[in-house]
Amino acid sequence: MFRYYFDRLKRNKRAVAGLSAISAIFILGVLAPVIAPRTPFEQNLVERLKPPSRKALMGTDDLGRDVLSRMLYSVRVSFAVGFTAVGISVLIGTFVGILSGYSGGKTDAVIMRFVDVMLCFPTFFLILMVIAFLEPGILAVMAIIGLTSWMGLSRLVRAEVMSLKEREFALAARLLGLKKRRIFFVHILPNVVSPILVSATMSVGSAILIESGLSFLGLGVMPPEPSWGQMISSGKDYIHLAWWLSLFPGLAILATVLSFNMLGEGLRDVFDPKL
Amino acid sequence: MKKYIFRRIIHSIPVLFGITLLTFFVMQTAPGKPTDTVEFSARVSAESKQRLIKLYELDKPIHVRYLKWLFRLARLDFGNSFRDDRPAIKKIAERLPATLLLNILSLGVIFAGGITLGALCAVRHKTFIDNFVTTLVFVGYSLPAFWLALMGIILFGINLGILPISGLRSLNYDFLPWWGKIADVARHLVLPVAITSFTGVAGLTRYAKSGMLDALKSDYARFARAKGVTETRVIFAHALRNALLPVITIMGLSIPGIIGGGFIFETIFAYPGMGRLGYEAIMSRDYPVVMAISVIVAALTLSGNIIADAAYAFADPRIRYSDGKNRRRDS
Repeated sequence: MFRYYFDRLKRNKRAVAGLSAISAIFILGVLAPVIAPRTPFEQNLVERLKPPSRKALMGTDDLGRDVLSRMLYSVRVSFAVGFTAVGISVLIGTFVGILSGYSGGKTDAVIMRFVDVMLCFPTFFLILMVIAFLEPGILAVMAIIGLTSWMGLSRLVRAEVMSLKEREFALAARLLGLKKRRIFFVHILPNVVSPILVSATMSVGSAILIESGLSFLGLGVMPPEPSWGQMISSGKDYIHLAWWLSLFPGLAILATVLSFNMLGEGLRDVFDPKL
Repeated sequence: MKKYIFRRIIHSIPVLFGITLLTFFVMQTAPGKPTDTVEFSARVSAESKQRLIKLYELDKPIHVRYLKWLFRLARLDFGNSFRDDRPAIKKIAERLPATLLLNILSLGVIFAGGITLGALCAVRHKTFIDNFVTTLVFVGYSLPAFWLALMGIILFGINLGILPISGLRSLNYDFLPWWGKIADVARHLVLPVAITSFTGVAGLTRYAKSGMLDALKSDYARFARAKGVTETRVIFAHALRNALLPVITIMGLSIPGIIGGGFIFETIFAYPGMGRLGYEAIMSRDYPVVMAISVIVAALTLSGNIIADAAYAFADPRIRYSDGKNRRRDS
């Protein structure tokens, strides 16, 4: 079973490209202390706003810090936020979706109304509202993104579970007199894993986008700790003097999010050949 | 049809209620009370503190405060802004037209662009055009849009100098003739509309493409071709209309995303809309304005969804007559 999917995954160009790019970026982030030419905090006020050159491959910023080094360290922030936030949202989304889809009736109606309410607020506004009133910072960002992005997944899981529990194999299991819990864990849950995996992969990308947006507005990762969004934001004041300050972090976000989306699409093709 | 819409509206009442409840709850947990600034001040007497507490009704239990707030809300009284003491609803009313203008234009661009590109990709499936657009869409979907906005400002506003980069009117707006005024506003709208609709177009193109692919492969399309209908007519009269159905729902669902994006874009473009007002209100902890915007935005989204559902029912008779039990997506 796993071999089958693994073989299909290997033959899917998009998935392979996405996964390799993600691994490469991840390794760059892990090795940042080793490969970065300087530390992300080291200031050099003589070498301010220098364009990309041999000495500093991506130039220097307004405090003379090496842009490339700051970019490499930012990988850690983005990946940490992306994975933690999605972990939280997958846990909540799966739990709520299963609860709703499996119990049906009144429980389902109440839960889904709550999901409707949550979906009426623009996620970004909800996040802004909560984060501005709490202490901004990386932990808050992770928690808030996770707590506000599980609704789509819960709807997906609910629909899956509802259709699965009416299918023949689930009926047969019920007729055999198996316990509810066993039917659920052994027969239903494994079938929901693949859509969750696809949606979670894509969500990592959007969580990274949200984090960069928040950091851009000064509500995410706090300076001097580097993060792509915040680098773009501090670069925007020097936009006419130093294009490299905003351009490179933006490209880094694009590359990372694109890789996650590619892997997600690839996984979808692998799990669901119909589409 | 009327019955369907009526039922849909009835169903949204608990959701509207939930919106007010959630907004109130978030605001109650937010730190900082109106009395905080005078809490330890020696110059403020205990009596005036009590007066403040009375004024903001902090001595009442939470459910009483919620109900009172709800009753004032029903009369569209959101209280006064902490910043300039003007009614919150008035401040929003000033900004709402600009936001609606921007969002409706973006929605129009998204709708037109997404469907055209999606249909084009489906009709020319697996050709150069399809691959090119699909790749572009994929990249567009992964772009940090605020960064795109900045790059747009650099390129068109600063380097080329052909478009204004902020606000909605030039300084000499009042001295322009009426056609000059329209042209001026239009020029200011180009960048914000282009940027806000960019990711939307990317998202919609994918749905429109897959819907159109299915429709072109369907039995009715094959039958139409068999009886001698030209391919152009098959595409426009038969396939496109059916492919558009799911797109309507997607549009309804994407409204909060577009409005939410406004909080970042309106700030970047210094656009005089509700998004920037909301951002400023959040940053300065102007609770009445934040609460008002929160409720209004959510209610707008809710009505957008109802309109989308009604449009769907109008376009697809199966929904209208199914008594809403089988295919309703919100239950």
